[in-house]
Amino acid sequence: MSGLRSTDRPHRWSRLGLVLLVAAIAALLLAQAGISRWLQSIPVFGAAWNAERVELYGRLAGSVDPLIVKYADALRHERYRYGLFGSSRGMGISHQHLGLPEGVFFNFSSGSTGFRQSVALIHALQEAGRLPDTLLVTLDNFDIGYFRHVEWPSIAADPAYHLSYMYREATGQTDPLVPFYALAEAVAVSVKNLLTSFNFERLIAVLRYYEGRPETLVPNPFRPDGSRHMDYQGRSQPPFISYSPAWPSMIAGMMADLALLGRIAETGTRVIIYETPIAPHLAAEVEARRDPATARLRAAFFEACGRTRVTCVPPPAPLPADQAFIWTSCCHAPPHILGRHLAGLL
Amino acid sequence: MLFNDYRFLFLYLPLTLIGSLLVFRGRWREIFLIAASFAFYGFTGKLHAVVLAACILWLHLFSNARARPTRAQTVLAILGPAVVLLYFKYAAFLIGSAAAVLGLPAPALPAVSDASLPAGISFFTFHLIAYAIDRYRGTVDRPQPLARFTLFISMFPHLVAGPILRWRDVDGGLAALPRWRLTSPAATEAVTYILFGLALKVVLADNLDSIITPVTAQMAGMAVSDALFVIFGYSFQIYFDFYGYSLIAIGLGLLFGLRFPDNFARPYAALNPRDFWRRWHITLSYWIRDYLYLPLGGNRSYIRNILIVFALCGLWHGAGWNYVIWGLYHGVLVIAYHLLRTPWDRLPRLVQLGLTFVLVSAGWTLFQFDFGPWATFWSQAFAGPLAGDRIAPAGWLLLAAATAVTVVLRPEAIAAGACATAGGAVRWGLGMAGLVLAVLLFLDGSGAFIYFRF
Repeated sequence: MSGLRSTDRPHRWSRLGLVLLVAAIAALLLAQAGISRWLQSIPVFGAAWNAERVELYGRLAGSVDPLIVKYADALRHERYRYGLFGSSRGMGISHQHLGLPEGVFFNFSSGSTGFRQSVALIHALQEAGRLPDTLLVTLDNFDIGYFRHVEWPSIAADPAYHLSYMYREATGQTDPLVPFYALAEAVAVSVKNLLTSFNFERLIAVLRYYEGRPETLVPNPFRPDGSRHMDYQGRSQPPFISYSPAWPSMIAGMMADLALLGRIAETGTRVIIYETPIAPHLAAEVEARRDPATARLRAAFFEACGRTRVTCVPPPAPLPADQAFIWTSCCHAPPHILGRHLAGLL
Repeated sequence: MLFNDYRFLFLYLPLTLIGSLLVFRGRWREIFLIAASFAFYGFTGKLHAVVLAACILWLHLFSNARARPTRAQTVLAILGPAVVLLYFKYAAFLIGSAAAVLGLPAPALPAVSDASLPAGISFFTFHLIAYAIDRYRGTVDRPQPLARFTLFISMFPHLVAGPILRWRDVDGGLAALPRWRLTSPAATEAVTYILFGLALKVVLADNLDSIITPVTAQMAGMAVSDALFVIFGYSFQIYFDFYGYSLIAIGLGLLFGLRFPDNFARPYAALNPRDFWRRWHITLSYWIRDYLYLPLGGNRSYIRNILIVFALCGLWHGAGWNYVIWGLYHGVLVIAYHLLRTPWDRLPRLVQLGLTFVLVSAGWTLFQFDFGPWATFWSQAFAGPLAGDRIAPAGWLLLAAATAVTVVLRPEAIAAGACATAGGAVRWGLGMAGLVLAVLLFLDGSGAFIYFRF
């Protein structure tokens, strides 16, 4: 065999086939975009809260949408007094865990996001005039390199935001490939978030809902305050590292994010950044595996924090009593334990 | 990077296509594709890309750059990548086995672990060895420019899991690459291969895996029906996983003007074990025949040579005794067929087909498990009740669908002539859109290809 043999004859109409294929894919994407826009216009949290609808919504709307939905909810609601921003590690925290009355607290956390995502959402809320008076911001542990990409706004919706971050990284740290990785990840995540709307599990969930079996949809329902019920019973002890360090040298962007929070703190907003606690029985082992680059980043971050009006809190010392409880990973504390810690910070 | 990764499908591939088809022409296209291929490979680890580059340069120095390499130069050329393969893939296994026999603790080797094993090292080593032997034999009669030779070895569609190429397979395509233009017939063929490959992987193989894994994770109390599902389900899983990968690789090659040889020819329609190896991983079978079996003497010492090549075929797949035994098992099957050919061939065709499928499927369990779990599986497989409830009805439906797809589906035929008429083009366009939807529905969470670890 040498090279591509001529295939013109059996493919006389191939151009028509390709045009039809592209048109059909475009129609699929347009239909999905239309459904997503319609879904995002429906009130979900707060007074409109309904467990089944929220769960159905969560399954329909894809991994990115909790952020969009929570942001949209904040725009409809009067300004909350307290807001929690972070990843799945804080999603279980409700107003009750913090000893706060109903209606004053909202949990803006979203799974698989990181510090940068929290700052992006805080910035958006500030511009919309809906920033809570007190911000609890999660700084996830060094096992994820303190960094994950921003899922919202997507690179398609706000390319300037991502490009400015890339520029800061390119000019502020040593590994020239890191901004490229970050860009690649941001583009891939944007596309993934668009396309994961086509999800078989969600399709089945919707069909079941209309079939009259919505009970299958609510194993871990959201609450009206944006938090989510986390059932830790019956889970076995997990491996202790959740993620491998991604880009521990993303220091320029981290410092820019911290500076933004510092400027917000100067306007009178109370900003508390807390590093997520580590399971007591794993703390020493995780500490021993600390990557030198992330250790330097952590030290630099806390040092820079001391020069702002932001309060930065390291993880609490492990309490012996905590050892009785099951953690789903090294760094996903049972909500009542994390809640007790956060209530103390308020 | 994986072919079923969002980053590959929606970032790497479009950028590489744009760069290759629209931006770079002539020799720059070769350079660009080499850079893109190394970026693809380097994504799994910078060391891997360095190892690949070193092996290519070594072979170029001692074989490709020579007007007519001598026997000694050829042996030296082969030794380089062979030693690298031996070190990364087999050293820990061999030293560990020796240490176990001697009752000594196995020493740890620097840079050797499952994570540090360069992806597809067995595949690119076979490419390199074949090329060196072809140069010695004169099949490749003149040295190739370093860039073209590098691209031949490193081109990303086939780099990590084949098909295993000879120079003659892509000689013309590589020569024409600087002037290659993607036409709509080539694009339809390529899209057909890629979408069918992705669909077989993410819809069938991954979903079978999601049913099989929970059963094998808890073998105690397994019912006979569960065990049968594991055996035959895995048989289809590995087929769709590797066949899917091969289809994607062929489709990607077509996008760049390279036609790779087919790697599968409906292997589960094989009527005997020898027929199976003419249909399964065809490029490996022919590589072994041409570069191992025939030099060993071929049919002159049939039984000895079959056992040697099948044991090595097993070892090629993985550094573990289970793989060696799996290879020997197939060797014994082929020899048994050789000895019993007359009565076997008199059996009804359906019985021949069924027997071959059952024997091959039973063998895959050696591929699926290490020895310990393998023994546990077979000791539990027929000890429990006849019927169990671990496999939901949807699982059996999936197995039935997998069987139907195996019997009916011919992506190669669809790729070859689907758009011959206007009606065919309409059916093709809508059918492919259906495949796109199916792939999107299941792409999230799709796992690695099984053959990537080889």
